[in-house]
Amino acid sequence: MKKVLAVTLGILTAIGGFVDIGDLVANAQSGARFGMRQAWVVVVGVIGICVFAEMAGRVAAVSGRPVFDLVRERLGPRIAMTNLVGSYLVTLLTLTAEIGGIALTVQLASGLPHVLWVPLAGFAVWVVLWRVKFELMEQLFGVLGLALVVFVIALIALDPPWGSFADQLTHPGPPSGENWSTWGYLAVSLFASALTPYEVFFFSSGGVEEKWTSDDLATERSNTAVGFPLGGLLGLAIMGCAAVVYEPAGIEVDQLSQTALPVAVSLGKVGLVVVMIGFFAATFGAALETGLSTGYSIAQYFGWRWGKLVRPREAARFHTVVLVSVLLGTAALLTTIDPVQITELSLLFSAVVLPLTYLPILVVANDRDYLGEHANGRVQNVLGVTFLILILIAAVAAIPLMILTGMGQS
Amino acid sequence: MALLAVAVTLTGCSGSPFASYADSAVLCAQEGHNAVGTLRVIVGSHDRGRLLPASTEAAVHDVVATATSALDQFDGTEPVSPDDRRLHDELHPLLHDAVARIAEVQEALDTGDTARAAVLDEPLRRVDDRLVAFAEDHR
Amino acid sequence: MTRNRPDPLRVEFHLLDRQIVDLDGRPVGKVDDVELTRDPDGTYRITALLVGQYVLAERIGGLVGRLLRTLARRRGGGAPEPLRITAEHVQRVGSDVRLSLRAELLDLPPSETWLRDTLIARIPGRAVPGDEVVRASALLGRPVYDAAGRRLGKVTDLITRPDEHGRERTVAVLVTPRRRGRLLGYEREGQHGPWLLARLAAFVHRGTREVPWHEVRWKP
Repeated sequence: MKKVLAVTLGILTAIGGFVDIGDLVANAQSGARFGMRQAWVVVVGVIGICVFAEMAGRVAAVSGRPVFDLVRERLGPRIAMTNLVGSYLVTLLTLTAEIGGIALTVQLASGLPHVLWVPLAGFAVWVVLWRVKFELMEQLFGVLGLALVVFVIALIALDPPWGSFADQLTHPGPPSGENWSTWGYLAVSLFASALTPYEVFFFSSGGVEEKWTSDDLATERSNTAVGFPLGGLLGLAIMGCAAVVYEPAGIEVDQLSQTALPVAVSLGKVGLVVVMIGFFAATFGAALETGLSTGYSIAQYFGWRWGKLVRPREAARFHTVVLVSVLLGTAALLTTIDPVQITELSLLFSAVVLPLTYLPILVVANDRDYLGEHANGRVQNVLGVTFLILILIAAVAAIPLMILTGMGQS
Repeated sequence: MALLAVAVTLTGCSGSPFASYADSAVLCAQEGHNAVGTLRVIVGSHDRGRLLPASTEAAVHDVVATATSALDQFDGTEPVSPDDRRLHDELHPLLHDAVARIAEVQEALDTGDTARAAVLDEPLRRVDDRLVAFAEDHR
Repeated sequence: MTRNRPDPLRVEFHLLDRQIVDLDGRPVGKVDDVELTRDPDGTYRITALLVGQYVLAERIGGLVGRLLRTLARRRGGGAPEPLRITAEHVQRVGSDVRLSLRAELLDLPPSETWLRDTLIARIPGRAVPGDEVVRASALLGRPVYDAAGRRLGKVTDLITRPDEHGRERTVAVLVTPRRRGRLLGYEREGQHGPWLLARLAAFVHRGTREVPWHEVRWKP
């Protein structure tokens, strides 16, 4: 019974924890612009993260080493340093976006401008990371994140044109009047919102800290294999709601309030309250994860002591990096830059550094010295290489598409 | 770091560096439409009692930001040729009108005058239609 | 070192950039460099592991190294002394390098370096003055020649085996005629797939071969 409870909690945490500010923005933007035509991108992205999270989890469980730890010994210190810089900066950018998301959510609840809430949000994130028992927070925010299920209910209540959705699903290209560059740009963003780099750092580091063994493999596989797809479903529901409310009128989404609006249209005040809880849980939870991940990447490169369960005194350098990162993110937001724009940028640059994160995972998962009989089989390798190719395409296309479309405008 | 700077300059309805004046104008018109269209959804929901006051305020605040940004960005681009000037003369009053209507609705909602907000939907719809028409014509 | 080591041991492969953990499994740092001491017969033996940002910076070299060095210097405040862990304290070399010590013994405030000097440094293995003491990074990447003066290539790794006293001693050199550099670990036996990457690595590393130590000349 206890095991069932633990597994359920794990799955629930994975579902609720899957969605972050990137998903909230990218799915709504895509839904408003292209209806459900890019739903396939979400599906592919979710499969991708399942494949790689499983590999990273397996490496953590069997070898007892988190992935970033192994990057330096695989690539050599110089190339690994480049990898580190890229990964760290993108994770920092994502952290900034998440803190911005927290502030935007509080703005939605209070009516007061988000900039006022930025310092409080940053401080709250840091206090929780410094003081509060992490397991509790992780589970709390994971389960609260399930509030986003309200999007599924709202979608159904909006009585969407299922027929036309089905039609869009079978004709995935851009509709008339739109070009492939904008389609490509939003597709890359959607892809990056599902395959977030920090998620894998966090997942594998957490696995090592919790001392997973090969006995835990089945549980972790179920968490990701069930949790992540259901999380992706929430993303699709966000897309669908935006598709129903905005696409027919040709309205494009560039504010977080627009993402929430369809729920209010459909379910009224109650729905709105639930969605705000969901937004808060998603962004706060993700801020905690990205905050820790900034520390993981640097600590694991230099070999310092690290851990979310470790007391700050015993892993001072790790915690200092986390604190400095939260400060930098908060400071950046105080320049009144639009958090949604930061989110779009974080997605784009995530796409660019994805190969840096995923290539080492694929390689180490094949190493029999580390994984023994648990090394990748043929199926996992085929999937892994296929996704690596997709990731490389996205990485190479990201910046040109950004410039070509002026960040998705045209 | 350089990429970040480039990216930030790309924001707003000026579009990509390769965009012509006409393209920028269309994008700004689209931004205006985004704002007005969303506002109509907000007012409609508010009317039916589906929004919390604080959320209405926040959502309208976002709409105002989008619309004023569209107007500012459009003002920031210089019409060069006579064709450009024609486009400017056509779109500028529309965007200006949109910002003004939005401000009126914001005031009505802030003072709790829901009746007035509902009445203001008609002029909103008109400016919205004209923005959409502009965008369609010059795409 | 004890029997718990790969056979043969490759300095760059199995030691450099590996995570060092203490007796309880707590991270101590990474192997940023390895200290080697030259014996009269021309072979080197591994005397210590070196841990420290400054040491890493010196190894990386170039612009990045210089940047790291400035960062390391400011933080330490004074002399950037590396943490020096003598070879005797290495219990096992596997996916990480496990020590037979507890981390507290190594985590010393700068003022208490006497403990480190007296305890760790007194144990046999400490380099005797007069021996040539080098860092592995100084040997790696150097061009080497055969007895006839022909260039064999660049040193890409040092291969060691335990001698009669159990100390790791160099027995051979891995030489590559082209660019040396790690490529994701495909040189090791355990690393097979995925096929595409393995082929790529094999291509990049073609021509790499092992040359016995006594056949190698460091000057033409």
